Amino acid sequence: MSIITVQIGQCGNQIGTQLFSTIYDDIFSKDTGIQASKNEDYMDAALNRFFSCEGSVPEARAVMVDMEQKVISQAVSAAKRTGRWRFASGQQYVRGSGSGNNWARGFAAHGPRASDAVLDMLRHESEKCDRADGFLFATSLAGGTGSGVGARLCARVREEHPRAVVVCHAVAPYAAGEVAVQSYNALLTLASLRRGGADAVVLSANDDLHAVCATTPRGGGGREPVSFDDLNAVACRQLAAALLPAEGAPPSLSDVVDALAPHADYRLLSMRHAPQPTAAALPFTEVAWTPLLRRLRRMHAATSARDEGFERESGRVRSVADLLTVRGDGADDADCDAIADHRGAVWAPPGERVRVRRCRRRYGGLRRSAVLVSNSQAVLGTVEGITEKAWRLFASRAYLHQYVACGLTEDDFVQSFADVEQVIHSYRHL
Amino acid sequence: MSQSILIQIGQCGNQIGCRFWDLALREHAANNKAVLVDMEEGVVNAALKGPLGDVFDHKQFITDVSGSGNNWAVGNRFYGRRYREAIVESVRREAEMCDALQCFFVLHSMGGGTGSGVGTAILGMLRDEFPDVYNRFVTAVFPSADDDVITSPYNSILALKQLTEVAECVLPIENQALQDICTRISKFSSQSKAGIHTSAAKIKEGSAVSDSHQGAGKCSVQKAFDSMNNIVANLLLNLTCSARFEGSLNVDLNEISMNLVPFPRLHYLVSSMAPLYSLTDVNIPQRRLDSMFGDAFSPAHQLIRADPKHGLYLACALMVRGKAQLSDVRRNIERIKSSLRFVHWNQEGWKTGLCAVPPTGQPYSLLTLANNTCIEKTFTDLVVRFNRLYKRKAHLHHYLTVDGMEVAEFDDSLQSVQSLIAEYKDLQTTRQSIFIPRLQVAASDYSMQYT
Repeated sequence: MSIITVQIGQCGNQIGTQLFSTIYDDIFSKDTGIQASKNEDYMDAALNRFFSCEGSVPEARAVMVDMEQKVISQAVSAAKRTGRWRFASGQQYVRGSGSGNNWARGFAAHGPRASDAVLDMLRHESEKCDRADGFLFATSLAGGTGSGVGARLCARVREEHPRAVVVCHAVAPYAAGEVAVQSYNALLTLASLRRGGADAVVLSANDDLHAVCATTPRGGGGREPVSFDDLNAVACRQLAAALLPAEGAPPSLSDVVDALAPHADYRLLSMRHAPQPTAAALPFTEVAWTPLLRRLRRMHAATSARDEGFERESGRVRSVADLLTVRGDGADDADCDAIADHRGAVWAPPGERVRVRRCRRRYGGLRRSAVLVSNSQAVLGTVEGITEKAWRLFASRAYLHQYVACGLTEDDFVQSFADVEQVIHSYRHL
Repeated sequence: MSQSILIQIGQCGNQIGCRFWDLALREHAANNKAVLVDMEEGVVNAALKGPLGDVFDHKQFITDVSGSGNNWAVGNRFYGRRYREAIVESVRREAEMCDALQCFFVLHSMGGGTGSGVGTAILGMLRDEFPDVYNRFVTAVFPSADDDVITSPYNSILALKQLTEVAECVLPIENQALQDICTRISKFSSQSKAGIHTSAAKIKEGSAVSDSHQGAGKCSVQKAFDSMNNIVANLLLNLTCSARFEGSLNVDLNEISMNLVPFPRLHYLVSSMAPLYSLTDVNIPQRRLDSMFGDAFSPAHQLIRADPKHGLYLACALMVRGKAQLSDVRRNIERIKSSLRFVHWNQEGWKTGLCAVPPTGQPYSLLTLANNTCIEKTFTDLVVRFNRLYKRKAHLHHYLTVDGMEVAEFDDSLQSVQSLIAEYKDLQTTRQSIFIPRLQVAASDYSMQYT
């Protein structure tokens, strides 16, 4: 059951490349903690999920999109340099002169132009799969291409494949500014995805990823500088843990999405992963299931991305649904009640609020680890922050002329605010 | 690859432009889409004789012989009309060789006749003939108060109106600021040579932003201009580094225009660069990264004399090159934020770019571009100088005898600049008086109320 990744824009292509690397490295990890024969089965399933193995070198099941050549060239070379996997040739769409951080340019100008070619590439990828499980979009919210072209392509793919599952992984920028118009771009993307396109949106916020990096310095020394590579590595570690197969029949993406995101107003997901040891401490890290899962629950309740140094929760973080994946020694017997200890939305019966997937194989060199993907109020901080800032700009009519020049109207903005406020309202009143 | 076309006009524009190509070729096999325009042959011919002669071909040059006599009207009306077709042809030829033309980059001075007059005429041509290339990015050198050319205020104000109406984004550069920077660098250099500094700190060969590697046999005035041109050339290199080199966060000229221009007419950016030079002494540690940020926000590093700390920031871009990491940049934004006043609706109005490759001779560098209301002072000073002449109608007849030039042009231009100044001043005094609450979702159904 294969997942096809569509990576769009600089961030999307960096994340996509890192994701395939993380997955590949984990597939070929020597520290699995399970029998060789079981491991072979797992490796086959996992490889097939993400790579096409027809040739001598596994090729990522990916379509790469950007509005300038440089980023994609870098991604393709980075993959080649590993010597172990690569991106298939002919699956890259590069046209145009950049989106200039303008969502409207990405959505209204570049997106439509790219659609047909990208759909063709997707069709080509699908044909290489025995069974295509769904599409994973890797995009960002802040820029012009990932956000604008991403939103447009998501919608187009949904139109062409009404029964396919589309999950969008979107990176939210630092609250304190990477791009001056980031809150507009983010708002417009979230509104567009809500209207139609993605079945679920997994949000990874740079602030959260940075918090994880800042407390897990490599080598164990003092505070080390954090780069985008570091942020991407954290995001992909979590995402891979959630997407890799669990033993037995791997659940399909559509099962996962049905369980997690049943309703149009509730499609935003967040990830929490534990433990997070430093590279130096990794070989010595061993946490039993109960403390590990309790820690994860506390992280969730405190909306903390990192696994230590956060304040205990004051209020509750209510969930619509959660998916817990436990990987490592004794996963089959891990008592997961510890994680299920929070209220869900009214309509989900108690036993079904937290789904659990189990995999005995160790992940990422960790004896025991777990990732919690939840559809909950945890996203409110990021989404409200975006909406608040975007509104302040809009109320002063700032930057509007740039979007209007590409065909967006003030009404489109108002409608987008309405859509996102609706989502905020829904989550707040869980 | 997304590409820009550099159009350099007049003596100043061509000197800086040629210096830029010279440096760019050293850094990287440059992709040389350019059009060079001058109404005198001196500079362009000199360029052709040098190493740049191999890089450009004759179809990229448009020249005449007699010059514009420091008269904007002659440049804009007379030569602008005469050479319109030739210039458009030349640009079109360059454009056809681009896979994806992203923007036009125009380089000229404001105080003379050709750069100022023909330069602004070209902006109009670009808008009319290439409407899809929406970004016209201008680097404009403004005259100092003691400029040799008496009519420079006329030329500058007439050109400024065009820049406000036709350009997307402008980097004003002041000769005075460039001179001050050069003085600072050479003072440091001579002091260390004279042993005034107790350390053996010397400026590393070739690392100063004012270094020109030519200069043998040139007179001191020319050498001074060389140093100043070099600074601007380095600015241009840093501005466009994402196009040539890899980085974890690419920024191109279109993104700069997008993020730094919240209102269409208010598109003038204060630029500043650090470091100005590197030291050779291995015993003195390189000024740390954090100091570089502090320096870049000090007036001594600006390419235009202005006081952004007393103005209001509308937005600010940080283009970092070299071994700086994302977290270094973020840490410094946090540090520096509190001493800067941002307009209330754009408190997080930062745009960041990271390019992995530093400039030659330095481990890292920072270019800041600030859209700040303090720029109105530059325009106000220019208006004062303009009025000193205009009140007496001094030299007006030189302009009015040019076919197509009328007094109304002077009045309109003056008014345009005055209203621009007023717009900046208005922003400076806006407080967040009216709070507009966000949209509310009605509790009972999903209808929206827009208050």
